[in-house]
Amino acid sequence: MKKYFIYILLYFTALPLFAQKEAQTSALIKVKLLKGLNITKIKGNLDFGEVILNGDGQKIIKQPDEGIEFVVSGHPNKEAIITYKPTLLTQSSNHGSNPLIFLPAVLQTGVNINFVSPSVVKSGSTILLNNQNGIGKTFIWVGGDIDIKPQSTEGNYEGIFTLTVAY
Amino acid sequence: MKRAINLFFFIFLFSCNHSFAQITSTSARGFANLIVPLSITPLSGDLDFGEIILTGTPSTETISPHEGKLFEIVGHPNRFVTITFDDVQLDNSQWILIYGGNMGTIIFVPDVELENGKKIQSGDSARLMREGLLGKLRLWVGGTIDIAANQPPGDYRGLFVISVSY
Repeated sequence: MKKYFIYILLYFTALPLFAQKEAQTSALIKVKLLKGLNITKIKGNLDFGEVILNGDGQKIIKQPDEGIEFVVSGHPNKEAIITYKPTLLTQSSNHGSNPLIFLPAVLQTGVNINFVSPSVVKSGSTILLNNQNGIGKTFIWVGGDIDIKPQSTEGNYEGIFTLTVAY
Repeated sequence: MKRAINLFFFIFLFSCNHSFAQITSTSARGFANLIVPLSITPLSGDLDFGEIILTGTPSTETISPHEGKLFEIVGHPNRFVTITFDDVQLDNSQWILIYGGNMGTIIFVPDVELENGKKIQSGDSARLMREGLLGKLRLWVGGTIDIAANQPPGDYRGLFVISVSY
């Protein structure tokens, strides 16, 4: 009887033994390739034109929709941080003294290339790059104002305004 | 009668498993060598290359094995196991279904090594080191991907499969 028990035991132990001579597992491989960021000027400029000094202080303003329009393109539905700061405008002939200060006003219209339903974009805030067929886009509009002081002297004032976007 | 019963059991065992054919003329105890079932399980880590910004120039990204995923093979102590795996093709097909754009593929070339740093090629054998009643071996898996200059953006995914056998 003992011998039969061993045979039966062998039968039941041998089957799983031969069934588990292989094993397998897997791991998910992931990589997220982000489209690089680009800023492209669509139209416009930040030329305030000629201003006649009147001896009093005055503020000259260029509305964003009258300034420069840019498109920021990058990875769809990804947020990007936008930064900018006031710009000093100087006269090259005046060794940079008595500069004017350009205070930018930046707005965005999302995926709309036209100036429709704009919203303010503060420096350091994030903008969403809205998906357009696999490309993320947001349209940015830049205007601003310049305070002209009573003591400001005549001449051509220039400065470089820089707008930066980063993931 | 007793011989008939014996014969019955031998026929029964033979018909149930061809592996038993070799023992019909010898002692049944000859193959009662219980072997620990083989398993391979992930312990820690991942094979996530993270976010890479496309620059328009080709690049190679690497996860070194010890920064990748750790697997543990458990089986019979001191038995050799054969380890097999293949390159993996990643694609962004799921991503373009949502966002649009072009489909792309990337080949993941695995880099597998033992805890002692010995590199393992697919098809290599390694001995399961005794730890108590079990044999164990730990494998680190990293790898490399080549990103083309014109690689379409998106979330690329693929499944790395690793097999072990006695």
